Amino acid sequence: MADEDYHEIFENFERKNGFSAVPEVVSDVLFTLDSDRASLGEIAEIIKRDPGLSANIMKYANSGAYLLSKSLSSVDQAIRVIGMKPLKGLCLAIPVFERYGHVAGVRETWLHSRATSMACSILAKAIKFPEPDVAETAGLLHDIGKLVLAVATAKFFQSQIMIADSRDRDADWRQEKRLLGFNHCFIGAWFARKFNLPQILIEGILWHHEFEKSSYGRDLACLTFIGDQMAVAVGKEHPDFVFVEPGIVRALNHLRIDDRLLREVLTECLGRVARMAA
Amino acid sequence: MKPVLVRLEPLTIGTVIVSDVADPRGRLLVKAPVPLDEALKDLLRQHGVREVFIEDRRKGGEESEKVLQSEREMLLRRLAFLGDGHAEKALKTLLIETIEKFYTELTE
Repeated sequence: MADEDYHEIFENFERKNGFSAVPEVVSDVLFTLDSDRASLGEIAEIIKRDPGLSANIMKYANSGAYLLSKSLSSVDQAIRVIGMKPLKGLCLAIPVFERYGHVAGVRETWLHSRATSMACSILAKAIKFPEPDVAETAGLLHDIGKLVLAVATAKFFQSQIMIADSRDRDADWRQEKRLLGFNHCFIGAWFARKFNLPQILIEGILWHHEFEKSSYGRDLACLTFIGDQMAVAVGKEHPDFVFVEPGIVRALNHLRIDDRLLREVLTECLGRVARMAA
Repeated sequence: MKPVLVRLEPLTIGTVIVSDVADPRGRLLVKAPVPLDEALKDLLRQHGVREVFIEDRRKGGEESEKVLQSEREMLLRRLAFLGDGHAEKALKTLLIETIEKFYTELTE
């Protein structure tokens, strides 16, 4: 892997103010969430200091990601529904995806990430994965590296969008590795590390296409990959690669997901995605 | 005239887009009405636009059938990388059956 190449991408992302897209208030939220004493009320008060972030968190909570009997009307309610653990990933993802929504492919990556997050959450509960909240967050952040590529290597990313449905190509992550020397999983893990996300989450992002390589969080990486592929199957595909990968068969075997369970999870996922607001 | 939101990709050249297309920041990309040509299709793809409004000339059941047909075609395309091994074929069948059942029930 060519160190200087990916450093250039990180620098380019920073030059385009990529990190200033994360509002100041987020670092306070992250710091408070990392302390053992954090309460939901305290977190809500911090988030309310930023009206933009507050509005976006409420929008997200009301957008079909959660099963609600009625619309949520306050930040406090939204945070209670989302829960502590997914909040950290959400506070990082929402501002950057919002800021770069105008860049080609970013809006689709956001829709795909939200669908993946839903699929991971449904799947995690179905197989009794010990940390469904972490699975939900991994789904939300798994393609954050694509956002960095879309912003910092716009020409490259657009060239991949143009061949998204070509059958004479490699999968996105293999293609990136071949042409750039690294892929969006690596970039995503770097992003997660920079914001001090838990190691298991970093592994989930890093190995979501190659779960067998993960030594620390193989099941999470595998679950994230299945969620990713389910999002593609139900029509929320990547902007730069529209196909379901054959590796899903190995992943389903690894987590011992049988046909009956897959049908159930997929049907619930289809219903949730159909209700998902743009 | 009833506009209907459809996928950009399978649209044939000459189809008229009947609603303005803006990027996610609200900046106008295309002023409607405008007939689709290859250059316009490329421009929309580059801005990540996947769906546009066209005039819906279909009626009742025909509309549902066309929606189902379009979804079926898109699904088969998304599954094109799954190979012909036993497990991959079985998975493909399961995905197609489950997704088609969902959309059939949705349109009934």
